[in-house]
Amino acid sequence: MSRQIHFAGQPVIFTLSGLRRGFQNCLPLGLSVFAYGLVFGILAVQAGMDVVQAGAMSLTTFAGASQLMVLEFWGPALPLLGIVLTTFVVNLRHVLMGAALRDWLVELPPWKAYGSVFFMTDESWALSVREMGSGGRDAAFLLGSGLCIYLFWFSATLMGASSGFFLGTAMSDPAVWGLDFAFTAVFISLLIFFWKGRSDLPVWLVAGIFAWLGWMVFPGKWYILCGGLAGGLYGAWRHGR
Amino acid sequence: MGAELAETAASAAPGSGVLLVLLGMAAVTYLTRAAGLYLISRVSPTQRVEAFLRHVPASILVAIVIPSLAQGGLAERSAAGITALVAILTRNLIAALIAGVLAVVALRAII
Repeated sequence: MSRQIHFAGQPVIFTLSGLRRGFQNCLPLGLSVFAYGLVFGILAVQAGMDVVQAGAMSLTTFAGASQLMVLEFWGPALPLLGIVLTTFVVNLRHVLMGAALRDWLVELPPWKAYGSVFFMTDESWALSVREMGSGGRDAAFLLGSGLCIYLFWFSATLMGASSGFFLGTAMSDPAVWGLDFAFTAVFISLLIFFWKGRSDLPVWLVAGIFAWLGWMVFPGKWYILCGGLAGGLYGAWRHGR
Repeated sequence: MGAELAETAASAAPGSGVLLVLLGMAAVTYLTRAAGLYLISRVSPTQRVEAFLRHVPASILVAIVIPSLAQGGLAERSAAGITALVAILTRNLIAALIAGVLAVVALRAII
């Protein structure tokens, strides 16, 4: 099979309208991210951080799972190496995600590409890779959807960390509102849209089995890397046969 | 005076520790975000690399949903099925999202 020609031979672009489209498409996910940002803010204060520290972490690290995990380490004595290593490992899945956006990113001027990936999250990545796969050629979509998540994550962190804030206590458990399921629902739907035919099934099975094994065996987010790598490698191996 | 100074030093230490932790976390997280782009822009992709990259997105999506399905009870799994069904029928992300969330709230209340 020859290389798929995306974008119908048109060059990749980076426009304000693409940015806006990414932002708008991400809004429903922003609400769920907001709920989790409140949880992070509340837990961060309970773990001993102040509002400024929690807000600064959400602005600079901007990776929810690793931020929540790091709270386990928080205390009067901070184990720098343990925290930084945990963060790195939890976020290793980004390497694979960034590579998967190749067709957009390598066509951009480096500062736009390297700037855009700062805002890349599971949610904005998933919407973007779908946009790219369906022929969208405006790479600003990634930045727009990332900025949407960024805004919600940061403002929710501040609200959650400002103790006693009504919304914070009212929404301290996203499961009550079904919002914990929102991410699952979105990723399932995107997966459905990715379905191209029966030949996808073995790849998905391999990815699912390895993700499940990774989830059983390793702590943190290794399972995403396990599933992504296994499915990708199996697909590549099958291609070469 | 001496005790006061020692106290100040002791309370200042966690502060600088926090700054280091925040900087370290931000640095390694950005490293993971930039590394994929850096690596992939430096290899000339063979057909095999292309095939690999083509299968990564769906594989990651499969992987992301595995724990919530493995961990979830009947309510979550049924809601996942309803979400998939609405996604297939409508091809609309928002419709599937709303259906999934409403389904999980309703099913959790019933089951």
